[in-house]
Amino acid sequence: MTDGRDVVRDPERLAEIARLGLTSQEVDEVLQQTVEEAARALELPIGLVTIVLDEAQLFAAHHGLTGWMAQSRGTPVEWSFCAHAVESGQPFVVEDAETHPLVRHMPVVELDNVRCYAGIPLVTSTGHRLGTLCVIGHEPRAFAEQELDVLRGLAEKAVQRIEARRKEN
Amino acid sequence: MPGAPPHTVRGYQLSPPTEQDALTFLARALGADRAATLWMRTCRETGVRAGALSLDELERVVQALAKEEGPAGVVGSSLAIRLRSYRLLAAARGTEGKEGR
Repeated sequence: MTDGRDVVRDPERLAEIARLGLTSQEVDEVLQQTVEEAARALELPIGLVTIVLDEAQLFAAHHGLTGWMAQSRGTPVEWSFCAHAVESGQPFVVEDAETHPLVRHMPVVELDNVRCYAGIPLVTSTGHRLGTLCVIGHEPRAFAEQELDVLRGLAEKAVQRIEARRKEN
Repeated sequence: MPGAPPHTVRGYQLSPPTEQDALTFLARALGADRAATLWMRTCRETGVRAGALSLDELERVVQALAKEEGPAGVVGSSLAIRLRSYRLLAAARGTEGKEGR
């Protein structure tokens, strides 16, 4: 049985990320539109497509990020909410990061004011979990199932776009 | 690690990646032998001496590694993000701590 960190570090998953060209510095226009749409639909300041690498997460597209995270285009993996969605293969929802047992210890909660989060795993046709489509806010917030459905639809769109790279490459 | 800043970022407790980190992460993805061979080759092609890299030199090697095909390139990208995060946060917040990691 593999634990969550084994999933994140799985060389086959990393090879899939490489095959899809997901570490490129270029921002895909469709993914960019998708994160903007996600943030707008859920009325939250930040929308991201993240790719969870072995020891960091990369922001393949981002909307609303400022400061060091926008400049670095990623964070160490131990500060990644999205890694939890990749590990479990399920949506990961945090209504209040200051009280959530899996994330409350992360410095980005206190120092970067990440307070609420909803992320849908991006799963390829080969079954690999790449990262998430997610939204982030600076105030505690509940997420309705209907809102998660909106994110699921946008995540599906993001995966289709990402999979198209396989055909292009 | 000679030349590597030993401190962690104030508040975030983030240390910069080291050569040993790079070798560990590469070995997990490629196996120890291939990892060591790739690391030595990348250092040589970057014009630096493995085992004694400054942070600037490590950054150059990591950037070269990120251009590799397959999982090695992903590991390189991962290290590059960790290093970039460290540098941005260290510049903004300062560092603290004692020698060594």
